[in-house]
Amino acid sequence: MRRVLQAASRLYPRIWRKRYGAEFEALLEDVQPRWSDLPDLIKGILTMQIKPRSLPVIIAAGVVLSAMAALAVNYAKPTMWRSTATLSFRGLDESRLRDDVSELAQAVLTAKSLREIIASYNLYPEERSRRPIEDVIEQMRRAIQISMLGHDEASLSFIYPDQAIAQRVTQDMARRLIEQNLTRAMEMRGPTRTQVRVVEPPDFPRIPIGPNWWTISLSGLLGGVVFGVFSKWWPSRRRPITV
Amino acid sequence: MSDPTLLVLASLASGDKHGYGIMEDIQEFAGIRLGPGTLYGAITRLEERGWIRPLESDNRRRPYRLTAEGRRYLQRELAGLSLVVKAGLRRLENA
Repeated sequence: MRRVLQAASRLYPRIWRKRYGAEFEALLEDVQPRWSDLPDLIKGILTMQIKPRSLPVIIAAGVVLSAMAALAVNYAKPTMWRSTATLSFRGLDESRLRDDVSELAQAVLTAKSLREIIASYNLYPEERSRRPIEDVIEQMRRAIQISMLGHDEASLSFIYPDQAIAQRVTQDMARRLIEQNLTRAMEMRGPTRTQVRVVEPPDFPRIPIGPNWWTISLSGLLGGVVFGVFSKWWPSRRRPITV
Repeated sequence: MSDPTLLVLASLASGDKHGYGIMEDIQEFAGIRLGPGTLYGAITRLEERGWIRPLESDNRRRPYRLTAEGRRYLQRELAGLSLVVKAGLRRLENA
């Protein structure tokens, strides 16, 4: 323990060590060291390191530290990719087109359909080992987006940590949407009310949608400013009690 | 009273001491063990404020002495604390 404390004491600023280093080493030789001395020593080192620095230097250090922390957090998360297909919907009844798209989308997003896709492509293997399948299905639902582009086109996208799988699953969902439309027409025993076709096949994503570098940079900047101001303010507020 | 600077000043009020001596003395009269980082943080602050000064020493264990200004500060602080202690004890007795 004594050696750990002696090694840690070298982290005091050079100017401080020049003045107090020898007597501080003598103190560490004299005391019966405890584990609680280590956090006490680190706190002392941090105070002495921060004390003589100007606010901009502390803020800059804080920005670097916060950015590193944000990067570490983002590194722990997988890189996410989004594949998008564009579908065209031509309807006999224009006024019902949006409702038709919504009905078809709901049919593709059923638990049964998503369960099949998850099994086919072995999606979310880690999550499936830890959580019930219903939760995984809900997670997949959140990764799917269907939105109207103009009055007769819609985009269908899927976000996943693997580029190729994101593309293949989007392709599969587009196929299911078209099949669902045909099935519905057969059930109605008439021509399909809405014609669905793929205008642009799912792309192979080249640019990840995460981690978000802007968020990292901004959180690093903000964290640094907060850290800098706090570091300057905190030591100065601790004064001896005066009555 | 757990403020390290006051504890160090109170320790030096009885005579010159080096770091380890101050640490032992505080443990004896206040029952508080200051960590090495806290002790030297307090010593650094007190020396900067001119309330203690280092003495010449022929070895690495440099002793410190309370200055006149440090003594006045300690007297003022202890007088204030003494008022709080007296008032607190009186109120506890009357409660």
